[in-house]
Amino acid sequence: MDAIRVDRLKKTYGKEVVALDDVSLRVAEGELFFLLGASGCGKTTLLRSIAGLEKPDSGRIYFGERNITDVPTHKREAAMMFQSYALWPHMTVGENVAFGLEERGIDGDELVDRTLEALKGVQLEGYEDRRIDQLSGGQQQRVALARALVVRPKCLLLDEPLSNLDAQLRVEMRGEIRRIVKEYGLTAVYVTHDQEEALSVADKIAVIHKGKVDQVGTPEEIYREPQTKHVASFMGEVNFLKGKVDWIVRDNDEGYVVRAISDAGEILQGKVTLPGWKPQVGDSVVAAMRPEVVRFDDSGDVINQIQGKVLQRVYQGATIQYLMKSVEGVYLQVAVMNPGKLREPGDAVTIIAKQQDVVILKP
Amino acid sequence: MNNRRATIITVIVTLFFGVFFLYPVIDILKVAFTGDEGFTWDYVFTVFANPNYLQGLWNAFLLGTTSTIVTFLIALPLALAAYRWVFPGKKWLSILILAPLVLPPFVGAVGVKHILGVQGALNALLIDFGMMDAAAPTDWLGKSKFWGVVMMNALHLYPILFMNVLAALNKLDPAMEQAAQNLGASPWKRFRKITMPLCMPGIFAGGAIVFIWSFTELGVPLVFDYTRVAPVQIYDGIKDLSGNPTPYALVAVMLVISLVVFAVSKLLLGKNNLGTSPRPKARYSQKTLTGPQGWLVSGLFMLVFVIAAVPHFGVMFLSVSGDWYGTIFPESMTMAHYSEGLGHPVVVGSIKNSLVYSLGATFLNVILGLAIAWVIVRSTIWGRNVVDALMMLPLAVPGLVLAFGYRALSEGSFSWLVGATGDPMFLLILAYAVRRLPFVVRAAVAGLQQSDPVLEEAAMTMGASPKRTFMRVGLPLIGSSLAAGAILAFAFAMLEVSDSLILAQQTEHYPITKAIYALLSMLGNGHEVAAALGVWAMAFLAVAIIGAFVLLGKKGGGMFKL
Repeated sequence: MDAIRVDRLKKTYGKEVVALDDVSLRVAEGELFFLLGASGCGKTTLLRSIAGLEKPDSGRIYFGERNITDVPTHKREAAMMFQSYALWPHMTVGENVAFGLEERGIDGDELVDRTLEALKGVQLEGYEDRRIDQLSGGQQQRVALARALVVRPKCLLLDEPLSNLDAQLRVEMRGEIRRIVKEYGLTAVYVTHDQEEALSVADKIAVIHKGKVDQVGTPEEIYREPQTKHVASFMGEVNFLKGKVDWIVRDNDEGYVVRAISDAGEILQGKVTLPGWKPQVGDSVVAAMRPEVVRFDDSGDVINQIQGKVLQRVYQGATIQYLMKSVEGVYLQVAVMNPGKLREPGDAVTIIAKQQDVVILKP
Repeated sequence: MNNRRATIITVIVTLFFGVFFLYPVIDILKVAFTGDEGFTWDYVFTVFANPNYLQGLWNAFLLGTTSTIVTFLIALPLALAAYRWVFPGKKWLSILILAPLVLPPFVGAVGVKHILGVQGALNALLIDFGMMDAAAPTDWLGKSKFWGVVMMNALHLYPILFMNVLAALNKLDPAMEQAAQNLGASPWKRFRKITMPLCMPGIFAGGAIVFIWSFTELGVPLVFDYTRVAPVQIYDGIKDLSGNPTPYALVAVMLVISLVVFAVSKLLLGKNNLGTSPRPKARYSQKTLTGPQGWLVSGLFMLVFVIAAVPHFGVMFLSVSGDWYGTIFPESMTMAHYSEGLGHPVVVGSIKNSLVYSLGATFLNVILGLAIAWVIVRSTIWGRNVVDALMMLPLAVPGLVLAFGYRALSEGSFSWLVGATGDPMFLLILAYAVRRLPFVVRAAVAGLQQSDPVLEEAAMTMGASPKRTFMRVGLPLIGSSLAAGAILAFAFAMLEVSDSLILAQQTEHYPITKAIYALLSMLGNGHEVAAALGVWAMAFLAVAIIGAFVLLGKKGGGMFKL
């Protein structure tokens, strides 16, 4: 059953700014669900609407069967963790964590036990009497998490919880958050603009763009089979090559595969991912391939074979990133894992990608 | 939902404001400009045609401008020094130089009279040293009462300007100056081209208050017998108000001048927030002065404090002097004035009255101020900026004008506020409250702005109802700001002069300031008992104001911003 269902939510600010444009989503029980998008795309507005901190212009939000669209924030049982953590400076760590329990009428031993247990859960044992300004950023982040978790909320809402941490701590904490959410069996909605964070932590990701949901899927689906150019480029580096459809390779239950020819005569062949879209012969399309799926190969296979020249080589340790320019004049990224042979700028090269690694998109 | 509540609050506060602030002011204008056949300039012409009034207005204007200039000369260097340097004893000296705020200048004037008068301490000192002929002592104040008033005004008001300028400097993004420095500007050029222009709004805001307050100062000229000045002429004119619109016209002229100064400071340089950042990321790195340089700056602060404290010391000596006439220090010391004061019906009653009036006004202010600050900061209703500006207006309208308006209305529309016995309690509470509302609103607004709404949202997502959220998170976070605003409002209500002098008519209703004034005209030891009462008031207010600043810390200066 869906733990959270968002049904046709709309929200505009003033007359001009459309923050949410007819957004519908389903989050399953126990799922760690990510809202991913660039800043200003409406993802935070969506999260705040679920928390009850924004009032949508129209649409409905359900927690299970219950329509909570008009339920005030404090009765929603949706604990939120804020980007700035929003820890109350006039209370100690313990008082911050105990707040939600007190508001639920819990007192005495249970209050103390659950507070200490929650602090233990985030590895902050013995910090209950500290003042907030005596904590480091990472510790504050964990207090905020403990405060949200201690009330055992129906759902946990996280608004860019890691954006104020330094890179290393961020990697550490995102694993931690996933572990805790899974341990408590919580349904969580997590907002971020960091695609790497989303890919590595999420059960499911919704990519939000200009107030709309572009695509919902597992990290693999979103990364390997993006349905729009925007999703493809937002999730990581990608090469786009234009062409015109000249043959429908396959049209059956397993999917729709087309072949397109570029102006330079390159043969681009791949899977169509956008549901319900069937490009016909003669239509303009774009083939998308990620830098790591192409490889240097001049064995003679002509499908998805592109010729060009190396312009630049960037050494990144585990991989080497080449920038090349195709015969047609398109700039392409090629990533090679730990190679034995280095290419030099100016070298003429041929690259190739497998059909199952190439996605055909609307131009 | 929020906005509906905000609208209700706005309507209530605006109504309160309209009835108890705008209406009396408009009523003055109405009488001043209404003749037998409708609108008329006649009464205003009468004022300008009367050489006495003209002279009075001109003197008041001169007092205003001169006091403002002198205040600048004192406050500006102090503020810059406090902004740029760390020097020995800075923390205490910065608080110490605010001390003059705790004494109504007219009480200080009494002390000054005993120091600078013909038979005063200064002359005695000079005669002692053989620098003056004992037979022909100089009358320092007699020759230039004008400068006496200017001095009292400047010494009383410079802390306000000091705090305003310092607040403006602290709000400045340090990167502004550092960028200029980085591009090779000399310290002087940096100050002239960057710092000064960016601080202009703060400087002008403070300057406008100082001008308006000294332009309409009533107490000091009264004590110095400087009668050819408009506020005193208005005070005298109150005795025969019925059927005489000329005092109204005089008040109207003063009001218009004050409003113009206020508007100019506001419109020309008002909303300029360029170069300021709400929370400067990089703190200004103050230079630590050590050795002679440091002591020199400390000495400057100390000097200003000592000069500013002369009236206070005068009052203190006076209050314990058995006889102080023609000597440097009182001949003998006695506590008799204190014990006599405590037994004196006027004194005891006035302390009680002042406490009742001021506490009532403060209570009213806290409720109204908190409500309206919430509307200004947290709601999104249309016109909340107008409300914000409106709330600051009492700073621009002289107390004298408002008191005059209340006095005129106390026999008309406001007669229901005055008991059958002529008890001005409600009138005074309202008058005190209206004029101190800006301080409380500013304090509450500052507090609310500094507390991130996210902190309240967090409480709501944790299951706290809006009311509980306010009690547990909202109020504690702004509590210190609000308390400081309330304490200041209370302190200023306790030493209020013009409302008290004009509205309290009968001895049993006198607040402290009016009691002091009444005691001054009492024969015998009137001055000494008045001084004793003044010392009580000073001690009391010192505690209150220090408390407010301890609570507020650096934010204190923001309270006097227009």
